[in-house]
Amino acid sequence: MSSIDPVEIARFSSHAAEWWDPNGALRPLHRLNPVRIAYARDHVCAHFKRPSGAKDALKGLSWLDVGCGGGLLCEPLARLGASVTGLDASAEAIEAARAHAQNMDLTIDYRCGAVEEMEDETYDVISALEILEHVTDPAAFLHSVAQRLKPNGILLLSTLNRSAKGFLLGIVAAEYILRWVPRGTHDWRKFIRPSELQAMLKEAGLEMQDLTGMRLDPLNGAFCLTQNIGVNYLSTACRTSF
Amino acid sequence: MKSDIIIIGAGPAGLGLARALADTGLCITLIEKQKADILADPPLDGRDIALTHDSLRIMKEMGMLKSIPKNEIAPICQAQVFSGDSSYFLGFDTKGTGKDALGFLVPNNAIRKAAWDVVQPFANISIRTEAEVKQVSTTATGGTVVLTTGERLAAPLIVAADSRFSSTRKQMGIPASLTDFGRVAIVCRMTHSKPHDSVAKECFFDAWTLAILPLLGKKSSIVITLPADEADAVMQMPLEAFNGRIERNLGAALGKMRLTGERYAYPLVAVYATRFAAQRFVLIGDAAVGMHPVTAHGYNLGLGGADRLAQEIRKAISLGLDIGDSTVLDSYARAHRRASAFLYHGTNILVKLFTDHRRGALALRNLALRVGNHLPPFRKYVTRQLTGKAA
Ligand SMILES: Cc1cc2nc3c(=O)[nH]c(=O)nc-3n(C[C@H](O)[C@H](O)[C@H](O)COP(=O)(O)OP(=O)(O)OC[C@H]3O[C@@H](n4cnc5c(N)ncnc54)[C@H](O)[C@@H]3O)c2cc1C
Repeated sequence: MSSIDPVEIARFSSHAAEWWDPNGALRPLHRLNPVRIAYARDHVCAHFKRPSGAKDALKGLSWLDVGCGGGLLCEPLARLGASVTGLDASAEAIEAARAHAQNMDLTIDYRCGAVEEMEDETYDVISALEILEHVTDPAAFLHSVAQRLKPNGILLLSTLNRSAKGFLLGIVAAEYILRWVPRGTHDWRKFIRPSELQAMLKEAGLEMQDLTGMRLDPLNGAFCLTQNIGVNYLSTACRTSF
Repeated sequence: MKSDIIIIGAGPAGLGLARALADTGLCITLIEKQKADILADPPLDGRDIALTHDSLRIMKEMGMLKSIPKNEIAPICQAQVFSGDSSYFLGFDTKGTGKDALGFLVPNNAIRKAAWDVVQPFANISIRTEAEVKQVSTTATGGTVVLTTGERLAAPLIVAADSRFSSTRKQMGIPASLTDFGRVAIVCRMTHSKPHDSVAKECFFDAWTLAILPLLGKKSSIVITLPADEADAVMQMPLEAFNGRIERNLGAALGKMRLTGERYAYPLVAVYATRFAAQRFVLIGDAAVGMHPVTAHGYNLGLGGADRLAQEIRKAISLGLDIGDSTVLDSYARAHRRASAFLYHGTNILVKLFTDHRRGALALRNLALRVGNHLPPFRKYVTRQLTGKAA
């Protein structure tokens, strides 16, 4: 049983050609990218006790990116030295990702499928960014993700908060006023409160370590990290120690 | 060899960017149409560049100051702006800045030589001289440069540092607003019998402007701007007559004056690109912002911009981002626009105000000087531009 929602996959597949167009439908994701990479890099490096400033800061780490889309996150991770596996349910996205990585001379193992269907392999790091709000059963999804995490591994998540502010900024502003993302990209009912995430992680045998908000800096149009987790937020989790 | 960055133009901006990125290990190729021996030892061109404290700091970090002889660096301790023959002036000094000087004057050819010297030790920086770029184009995955010889070079990022008349900017479809002031700047050096006390003076007469920039000793750099149709006469003016004219214009404040060396003429055209970045293509130096020299900011802005772009590229490398990624170039473009827009437009307004002969303009500029003097935020802004943000 996978928690993939075919309607959601069809929606993202239709953007395949635009994944790497910085001014296309996925423009907000391009803008979001630097800050979420910085967050991922810093937390992963801290977790594995290595310096985060180096050009190959992630060297030797096996990394699974679930819901990788066109590879916006996978490519930077590969440049920083990680052995990256990118997983996505959309065949079109995977195709776009493969073609782009080849153009960029990067080796990334792209696979089309669901995390529920994966067997055996485990990873030092798993990321599932901007995915939870698109799956049918986030609890089941997190359970499957946890199976793929090495005992000392670290999980990175990001999603939108089901708060009034999350609704106003994540949907009303982003989809209707600013038209950043196509209408219907998000369904507010699928947004997740941090407390719910924490509970689901616990069920999956994981413990939430960090919770950090993201917000748009109107001055320079870039996203930055914030204490406020009212709208977009990032989180890390590790296995519960016994 | 494949490059990571191609920089078109090995002027101060192009060389500055290359040096700022030298220790990233990126393979950088500069393409320059001039000959190597001219770049390695540029002849005097009459320009003395007023450097801000920020520029000096960046130049020090780049190791450029080691290449510039101490006796080529002259401090400016005060600046005074006069309107006509009136002795009333708008004054700027170092009070409250914690600095000894507002800025420093260094000959342009010494700066160019230093910029050339500091990139030489780096194996990852190669300079193709006597090579002229004919055509630039970019796609979503990379950029290509074609030389006049037909040779093609490719890189994920192309940087244009090919002067205010940048032909590659045009090829990439970036419009630029160009202001031709219909005027010419004549620059030269003069000695004088009285000391200048390290005071820079900018005097606005009816059709002329005259700037006196204090060099070491009883010597100054002179910048005259005047209508283009009067330039030839001043360029050809016999020595005695020229000396006398400048002397009189200054009300003999510096005593007897004598021209040393050549006079150099530069047409005054200011250029502001409407965008600083396009797909895998970015503008720096005069190609992005070509300032009117009256506020002495062209080189300073170019160096600051090169430094800013280098920081964005370093940040991109530390995040594993493609250095030609639009988020990287856009961050630079936004920041550089913030740093330059007010200065550029403000300078042009100032120039127009001060070179307009009409009565109204005259009254307005006299008012501007008086108001400026009593407007602490304005003076603070100007002083801060010169002495650095930390002041
Ligand atoms: C009279 C005067 C006084 C000034 N005073 C000051 C001052 O006091 N303070 C200050 O900060 N600034 C001052 N400036 C401005 C300063 O000189 C410029 O801002 C600076 O030189 C610009 O550097 P750049 O590298 O951007 O361009 P440039 O110095 O113009 O260099 C561009 C280079 O690109 C090369 N090139 C162009 N096209 C091609 C091509 N197609 N292929 C290959 N190579 C190419 C050229 O040969 C050249 O070497 C003054 C300018 C003038 C004219």
